[in-house]
Order: sequence, then C-alpha cells, then structure tokens
Amino acid sequence: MGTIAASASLSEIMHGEGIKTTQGARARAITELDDIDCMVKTYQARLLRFVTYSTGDADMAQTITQDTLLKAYNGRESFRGECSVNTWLAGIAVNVIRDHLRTERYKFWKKVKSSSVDVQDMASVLAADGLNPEGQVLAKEKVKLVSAVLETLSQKQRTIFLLKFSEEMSVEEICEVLGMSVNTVRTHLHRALKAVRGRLGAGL
Amino acid sequence: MKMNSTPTQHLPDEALDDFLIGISSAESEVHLAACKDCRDRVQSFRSDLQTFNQSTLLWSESKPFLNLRPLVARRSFYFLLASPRWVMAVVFAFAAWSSFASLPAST
Repeated sequence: MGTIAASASLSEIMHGEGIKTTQGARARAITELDDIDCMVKTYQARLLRFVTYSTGDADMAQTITQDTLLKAYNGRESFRGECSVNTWLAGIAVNVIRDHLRTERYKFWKKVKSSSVDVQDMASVLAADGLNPEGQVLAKEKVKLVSAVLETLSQKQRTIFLLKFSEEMSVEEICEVLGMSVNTVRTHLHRALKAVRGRLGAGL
Repeated sequence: MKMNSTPTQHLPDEALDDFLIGISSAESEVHLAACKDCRDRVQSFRSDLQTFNQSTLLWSESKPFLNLRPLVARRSFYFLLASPRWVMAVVFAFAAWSSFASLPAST
C-alpha cells in the first residue's frame, strides 16, 4: 500500500502543530491497535461494510475482513498516524480484496455461486433498531436501490464510490490507496455517480 | 464548468457531480448558494446515501465479532520458531554443547 497523504495542512506542519497532532494520533492509535480484541470491536463493523459492498459477496467479505485485521495488527508499527485508522484499514483491505479476486479459487466459486447481501437480513436489522414502520420501508427501499446499482458498477467504480461516499475519504487519499491518478479516480467517480443518480431518479 | 446563471436554468449534472466529489468551481458554489432547487437535489442525494450508510453499518454491527486472538497467538508461536535469532541461538548452543561433550576427560 502506498503512503497516504498527511491530513494536517502545510501551515500546521510548518508551525509544528501538525506534527504534534500526527504524533498524538499515532500514539493513540498504536495503543488501540495493540489489543487485537479492542481493534476488532472498534473497526470490524465499518471494515466489514466496506468489504461486503466492495466485493458484493457477503461470505468472502468475512474472510477478507479477518485477513485485513490480522495484516493490520501484524503491521501496526507501520501506521504513521497521517490518516485515520479507518482510512489506513481501508487501504489494506483494498489490497487484500485485490489478492482475493485474483485467485483461481475465487474465480471458480464466483461462477458456481454468488452470496450477495441478503436484503431480508438487512430488513430484520432495521426492524430491530426501532425505526417506525414507514422509516423501515423507506430505508429498506433506499438500501435495496443503492445496493442494486452498486452491483451494476465495475469493481473499481464500486470501490472508489464507497471510499468516497461511505468511507468519506478525499480524492487524494483514494489516489494514494489505489495507486491511481487524480483524473482516473475522478472519471470513475463521475461514472459511478451518474449511474447511482440515474437509479435514484427523483433525487438527483 | 459552464453554467447558465439565470434562475430558470440549473447546474448541469456534471457540475453537481463535481460538487459532490468536492472539486466544484467557485461559479458552481455561488449558484448553489443562491439556488434552492439545486441545493435540494444535492441534499436529496446526500440524504439517500446517509440512509444507505447508516443501514448498512447497522447490518454489519449486528454481525458477531471475529475472534482473532487464537490466530494471533498461533502466528506468534510460529514466528518465534522461525525467527533467525532463535534458530542461530539454538544452533550455537547445540554446537557448543557437542564440542564440550566430545572433549577427552583428561584434558
């Protein structure tokens, strides 16, 4: 994985504040990352969501999330605190996903079966969260719609869209994580947005 | 991004995409500040995405936590065995012991 652009501004860095903030963030994160159980509890959910929707395969997402967290734990000394832990983990996950998608075993099983996210499973979670019936129906419909359109995108477009709009990463961070130029990332984002907007219809 | 500033004409889709991506022009931002329709379109998209993000996060939070501790412990054990320093130390200790053990008793 490439280095991720420092989030502190240049002026902050020049005045020393950025360095202090970065070092402080790193120290806090290293403490968090030292305990594997704490790391899993803090970061698993968000990572699992990203991997599930990026791959479109709920079963494989479990394996990839596990591999990503193990890789992150073993390489925690390399975390420099220049970005959030979530961004760092997403970067590792992108590489693990890439490795998984390249394997012959994955290609074989992808032909045999596909275990995309179960919308009924999602609906039961929403119901348990105490949303009113109307809210549940609306949320379920939105999730179904966005999930369906994400499945129609290419793997790259989907990943970039999720990094931008779910993981809230900047275009520069996405470029670093994926090793792509700004123009390529923008092109993928434009295509993905066009597709999602088109499907959401009345919205944009 | 080219844009017509008359009230009846709104930002083209590409300009709205640029705004959502975070690379909009100053011209687009001025238009958005003044045009409620365009702001509503942006807000509607953001609201849909927020619903998707919250719902999918709830779903993944409902999944049981992975138990990685046994995997980490096993990996640490194998790492210890495979560590060159440990291997060197064991080899050195064995060599030293065998050379002492093979010395004649009289010397």
